[in-house]
Amino acid sequence: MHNEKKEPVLSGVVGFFDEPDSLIEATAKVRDSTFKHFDCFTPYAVHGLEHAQGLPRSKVPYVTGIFAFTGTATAFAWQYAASKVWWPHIIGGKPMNSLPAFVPIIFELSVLFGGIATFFAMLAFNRLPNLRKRAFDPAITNNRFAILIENPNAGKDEEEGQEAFHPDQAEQFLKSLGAKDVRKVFEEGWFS
Amino acid sequence: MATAETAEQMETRKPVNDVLVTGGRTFSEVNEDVARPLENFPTGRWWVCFIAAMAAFFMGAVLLLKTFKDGVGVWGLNQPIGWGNDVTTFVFWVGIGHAGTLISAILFLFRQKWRTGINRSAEAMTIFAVMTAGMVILTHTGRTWLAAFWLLPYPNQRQLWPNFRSPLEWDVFAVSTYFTISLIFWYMGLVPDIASIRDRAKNKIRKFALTILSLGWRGSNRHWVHYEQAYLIFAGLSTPLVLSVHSVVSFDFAVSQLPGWHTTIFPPYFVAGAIFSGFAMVVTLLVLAREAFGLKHYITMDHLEKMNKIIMTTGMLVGYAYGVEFFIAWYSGSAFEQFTFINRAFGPYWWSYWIMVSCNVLIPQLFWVKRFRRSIPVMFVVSLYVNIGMYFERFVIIVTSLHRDFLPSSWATYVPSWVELGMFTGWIGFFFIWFLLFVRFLPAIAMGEVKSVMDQPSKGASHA
Amino acid sequence: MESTEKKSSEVKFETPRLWMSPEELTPAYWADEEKQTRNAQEFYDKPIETLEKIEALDRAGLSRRDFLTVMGASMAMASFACARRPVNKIIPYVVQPQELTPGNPLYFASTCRECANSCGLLVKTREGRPIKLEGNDEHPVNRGKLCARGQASLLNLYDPDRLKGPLKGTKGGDKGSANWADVDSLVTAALKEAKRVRIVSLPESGDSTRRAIREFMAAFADARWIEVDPLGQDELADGQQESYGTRVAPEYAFDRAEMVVSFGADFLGTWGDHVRNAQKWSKTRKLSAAKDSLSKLVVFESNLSITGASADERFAVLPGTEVAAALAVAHEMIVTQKKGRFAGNADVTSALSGSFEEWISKAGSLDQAEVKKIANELWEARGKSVILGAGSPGLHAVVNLLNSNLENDGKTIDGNANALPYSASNRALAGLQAELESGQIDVLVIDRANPVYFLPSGEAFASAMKKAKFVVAISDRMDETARFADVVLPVNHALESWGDARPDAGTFSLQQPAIAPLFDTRSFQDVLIGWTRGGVRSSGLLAQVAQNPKGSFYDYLKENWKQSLYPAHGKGRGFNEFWESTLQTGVLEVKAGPSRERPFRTASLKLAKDAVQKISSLSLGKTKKGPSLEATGIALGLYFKPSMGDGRSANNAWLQEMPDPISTITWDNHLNIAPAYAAELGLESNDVVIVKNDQFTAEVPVKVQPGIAKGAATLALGYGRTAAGKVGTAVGINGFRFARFDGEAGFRLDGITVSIKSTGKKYQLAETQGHHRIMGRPVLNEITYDAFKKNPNASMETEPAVKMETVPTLWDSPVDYSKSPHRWMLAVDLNSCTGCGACVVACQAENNTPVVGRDRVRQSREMHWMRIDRYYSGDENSPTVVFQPMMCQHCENAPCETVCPVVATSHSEDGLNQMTYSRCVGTRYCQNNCPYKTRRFNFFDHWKDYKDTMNMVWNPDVTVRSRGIMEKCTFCVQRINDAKSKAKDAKASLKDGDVRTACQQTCPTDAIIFGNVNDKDSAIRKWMENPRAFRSLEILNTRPAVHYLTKVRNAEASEEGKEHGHG
Repeated sequence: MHNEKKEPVLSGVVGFFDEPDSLIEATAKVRDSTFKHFDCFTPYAVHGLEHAQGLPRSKVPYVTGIFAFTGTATAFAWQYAASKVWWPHIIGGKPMNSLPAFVPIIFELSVLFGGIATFFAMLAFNRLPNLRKRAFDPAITNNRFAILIENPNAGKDEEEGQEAFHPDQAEQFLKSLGAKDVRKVFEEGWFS
Repeated sequence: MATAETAEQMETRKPVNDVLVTGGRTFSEVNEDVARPLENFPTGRWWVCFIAAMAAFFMGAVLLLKTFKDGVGVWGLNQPIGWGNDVTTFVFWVGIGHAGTLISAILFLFRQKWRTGINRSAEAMTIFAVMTAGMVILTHTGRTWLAAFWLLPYPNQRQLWPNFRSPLEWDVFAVSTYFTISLIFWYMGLVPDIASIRDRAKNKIRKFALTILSLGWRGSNRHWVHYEQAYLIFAGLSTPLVLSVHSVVSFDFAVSQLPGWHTTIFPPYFVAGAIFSGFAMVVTLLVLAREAFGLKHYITMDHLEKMNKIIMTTGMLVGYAYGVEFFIAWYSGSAFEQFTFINRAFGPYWWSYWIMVSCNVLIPQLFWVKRFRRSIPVMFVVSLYVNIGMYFERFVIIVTSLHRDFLPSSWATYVPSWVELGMFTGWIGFFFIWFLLFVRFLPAIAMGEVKSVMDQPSKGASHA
Repeated sequence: MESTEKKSSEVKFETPRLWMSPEELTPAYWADEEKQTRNAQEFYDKPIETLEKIEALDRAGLSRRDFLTVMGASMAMASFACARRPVNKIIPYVVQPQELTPGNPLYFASTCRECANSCGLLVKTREGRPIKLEGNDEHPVNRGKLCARGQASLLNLYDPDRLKGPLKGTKGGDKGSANWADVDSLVTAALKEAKRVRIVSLPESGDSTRRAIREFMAAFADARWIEVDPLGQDELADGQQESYGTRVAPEYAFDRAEMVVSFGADFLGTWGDHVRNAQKWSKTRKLSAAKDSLSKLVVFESNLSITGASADERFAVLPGTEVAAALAVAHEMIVTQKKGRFAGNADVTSALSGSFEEWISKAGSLDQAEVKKIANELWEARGKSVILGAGSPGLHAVVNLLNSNLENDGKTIDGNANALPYSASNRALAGLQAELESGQIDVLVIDRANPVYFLPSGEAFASAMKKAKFVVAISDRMDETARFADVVLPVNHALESWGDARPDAGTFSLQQPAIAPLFDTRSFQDVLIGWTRGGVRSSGLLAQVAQNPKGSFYDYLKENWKQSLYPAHGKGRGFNEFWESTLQTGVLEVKAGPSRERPFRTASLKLAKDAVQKISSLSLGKTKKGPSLEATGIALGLYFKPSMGDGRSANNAWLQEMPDPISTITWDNHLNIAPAYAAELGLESNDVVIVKNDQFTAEVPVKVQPGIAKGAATLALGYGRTAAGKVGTAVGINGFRFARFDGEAGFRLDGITVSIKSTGKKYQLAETQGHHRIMGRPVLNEITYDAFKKNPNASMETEPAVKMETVPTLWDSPVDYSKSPHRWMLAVDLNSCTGCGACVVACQAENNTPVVGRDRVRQSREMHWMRIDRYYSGDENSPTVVFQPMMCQHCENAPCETVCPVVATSHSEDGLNQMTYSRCVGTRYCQNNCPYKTRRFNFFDHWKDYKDTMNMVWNPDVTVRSRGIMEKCTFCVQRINDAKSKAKDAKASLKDGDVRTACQQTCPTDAIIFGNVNDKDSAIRKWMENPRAFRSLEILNTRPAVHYLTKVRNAEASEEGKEHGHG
């Protein structure tokens, strides 16, 4: 699979850890180092790692909120229009706009809209589904923790200003942090 | 190949003293254990179950066609009793569909780490139960082929809309929303685990399918941040949702004016009942699953014991509701109410009432005894009794209230026809087909979450 | 040529500005003279011709109505290729030209022949087929009302089991189909040789028919005509004969009676002229702020009939001992208290010899004080009371004694002015049977009568028939009797044939067909004409008509009327005018003179003695309880049901499925036994027992029935047909087989004793009502007359009656109904409702309500939109009964509407709860949520059970519902809309009474009223302002549109009156 690619793009240098706590320590060091572009890879959500990595808080909740409220509004407007404007009927001596009876659907629709939005927001923020970047090591979804110091020029054309990036320095640095199996990884798609 | 080797090298045995996962499993062993049933040819026991389920479902399907051909008259329903086994079955399955989301959402919010062992299969159970319930309620109508879309408020040329004042219409929204949200929630939880089994998959087609399903998940921590956030929100959304769904189902009865239905206690009473029956079904299924797939280390006795405690608690909650119904009937001073409840306990359907009480209130009392709480056979039998009892709870509520209402002249009795009972069996088969396929093709344990609550490997311990 | 043209053109031709063809542009065209004239006429010569034709027609005296008639008839014929006889003399009832458009109904006045009472009919036809029978408002017998059987007789017309053509074969053997020519030749051949001819028919009151039969019989040396009627009044007539010298069926003026005492006569349900009786009686039961006088009804009877159910005081007596009760009353009044003209009369005193207690004890355990009281009350109401009975002539003798003693005869009882001689006599059949056995009878003609079925000695009669040389059966089906005929001639349905009837002396009722015969059938009268034509030497008019090869009974009828009635009642009009106007109204009413009192023959009282001898044999034998039960000497009472009558329409599914008003059981008859007695015998409902007397043995299911005397059992007649058709064959047991029948006593239903043996078997009777007590629920109000006088809306069942004004409502109504032009409401007067069930069948006919069959009724899936709930209160063994007609209540706050997810049911602005069938998906939630359980769900495609001709009975104005949808009473919305559009056409607004629901229209006692309450002076408005008005289950605040008027019982409140809770 690897050798089919003609000129593999260097996506970065990876170093592996076996324990979450050593990963967190290392990550903090990387964060404070000169390597600005890096990411961690873990089999599960390691708590505290996001701080070590200095990631901002997720924006997903805002999306959820907006869509949930849209759901609320839609549900009410819809029921009101259907029962009072579009197809008014005398039902059981109740007023055309029987608001209390509309509440359950209003609630359900808010949840529905909010929930669906949440999922797709999550995918969007993560640029998933993504078939261009394959996991560079199966152990990551199994039992190993990795730091990837990324090649800032990966995926950029020559024309654009190239940042300075020295894989060897990165390797040294990772080794110095106690990472095992430090190695270069090249960009690969899932089916390429 | 390289992968496997590294995995081998990385293998490290460490003394463990954890509760949630027993047997000192390591991360990679978790993957091994969970993936084993998916990567081997299904066992004979699996096939037996699966064929049985298929047979039941096929019979149900034939009877359903008969119903479509002749009309719902092939059931035992009649003039005062418009709902019988059909709606009972619906409420039964919706109720069962509550444990999953409850476990994955509410226990998540309460930071109940022990949920991780069971939430995946519980959620799966939820989804399949709700699917079954949906099918049941759709096919109980006189003209399913029309109900299937007239109940949906789709814009149409003639500007016809459903009646948003009807509890049945609320049901449509509640159940479909609940199904959608649960499904997404479940799938989201599955993504990292699918990624795990993807990375160990040898078979090309399997690997391809899993790659697509895993959405190309790479375990990047940037992803984990959004993922965790979304997961938390889902838990937050599902919690009120799970409570609302069975409340809405209870509105089907509470909003009517029929003595025995028109009761304000119904929403909490139904929700409690739903959790009760849901947990009972989870226990039934997991006791089987952990035996069948050797998941004892993940679905531990502690897990089961905790669930049994919940079963006992909710059992007493519904018992309380049974009592309060009688009190209110007396307290209301309404002759109709009073008659209905006396008729429930001592009328023609007294047996169903007492089956309900003994299965739901008395038998779970066994769980006061720790030995019983931790005994697989006992809890299995009890959970079965609870399932039966909860079926009869709905039967009692629906049939005994209908068969003798306001005008004595229109009283009658109801006996389910063999067609109804056959279809009931068919729906059970339908449910188990899905569940068996699930345990066969998808990781039944949330590996990612289990790992996160396992005793973490630490520097000191490594290479020791 | 050319040049000339040019010239002319130059001179006068100028191109026309408008032209139709190029040739017009040439002068030659305009030059052509004849072309011009043709053009001139082209567009109007044809119309001129037609106009001339029409004028010619008018000159010929063919009125517009005839023209319409012809059109109507041609429509009828167009609908039915099998139309044999032109029906072109039919006169539509008061019909406007534009009503002849297809889609609009035509009404024909006719006469109901379901029983001998001959009620007036209005036949509603659509596109030539009758779809609904309604009473003729102008007919003195029924004044627009019909009973259940009358309503249902429509379905007999479309009965697929009717004979489609003549049959010939051997007595009791197979019969092959034949055509009229050869059966006629067969019969006439036999008739030509015949000396002794006997005709057996159902009662024929019509003068024309009677004359025709007499003229036919003139052809034979020895011909006799025997009219038989199981439903008839032999004993009554005999009793009249004995007491007053004339064999008549008197007319009773219930409307003038302050007190009515019936000794076993179900005069509101099945006895005598029941529609007229009920109607007159109900007039004395109406209570309003204006009128607060209430008549009193006392009933001594063995079976709980609807008359007994409506009684203010009811006494359960042993079957056949009504005479003892009557004697007790007479004894008390005449002997003990020496009241009335016969006090001290030697014969009477001797006839009444024996103690009061003795009589009482014979009649079963009666409350002596009560009976004494009744005697006094009767004396108080002398001259303003009616006493009547059913049973032995002896009973009637006593009844006549009482009436004469109370000077009722001539006042409330008319035995001479309007009463006709009673011609039918079942007893005569005994003589006939003897004659037949002796083999002297050459030809026996049986017209529609079914003696083999209804005679207790049916088989004997059948074998006797075999001894006759030749037997002709004229029947609409291959029934029990027809099987023993040589030839079977298919007879028309009444709605297919001409005829007349004379229900009473002053009423001449015409029967005109509303449709050409569906099958190859003839009316009895036409058959006679056919035979005469075939060579039978009939005399008089019959012969005349027969001479004309086209002559039919229509001509006979017309001619007979011309000769007999026209001269006296023509009022100087031309005969055609007289004829047409009579056909329109359907009846000629002649004022009868005042009735005169008749001298009572005390000698007749000896009959009473015999009758008493008969019953003294009644004594309860010893019984072994439990599984091996054996009880002997049980007095068996045979009774007629309002639905089944004597079983002549047993193949009518509407009647079979009509719940019995008392037992609410459909599709079977059953042995009624009182609860206490059943407990003593260890029997329960649905136990099958063997009932046995010296004539007959049968297995009958038991129904534990309150209101039957201890030691008695009752069984309904009209069941157990063996050759009725797909529907009616082998339904129930033939009770006639237990009856007594001999030459001197005649045909008697009383004084029968049977023994009962338990079989241990069970048979589930198809009962429509689940529970029989109100259980103190606010369902309906019932109070006593005393209480009513104190406080009109006081209530016995619901204390206090919840007035919904006091009930708060969460939401204001979305519409102010008082503003809308109409607001439809319906009210039922529980006080005049007798539970007869006519409304149930009328509703079924009007609204295409399907029949579901016994098994589905057992599952309680009956589809009647209108049901009559029957509640007992008081002591189980002598209960008081209340009927409550229950239909969709059209609630303002309808629970059903709220819960329907697809808006299949909603409210209209004029207050109707509407059902949108096509939108319904069948969740059945509305039914669950309906407190009155008046919604009906189509569990199956019931309409598929309506086979071939039966499909013609559907009312095209009402959707035939498919499976899987809900249905219910619509307040006959099709009638409302019809009336609205009629009013619109007439540019008028709806008047009160323009809309009448099917149930209201047919209700013999006017217990149902429907109308627009926004109309200040509508009848419904007045009823709702009646202090007795209440709504059922008012406490639920469903605000029903249906109101009920409290039942008021003319008896003092006793403990029995009070509700005993769970029964």
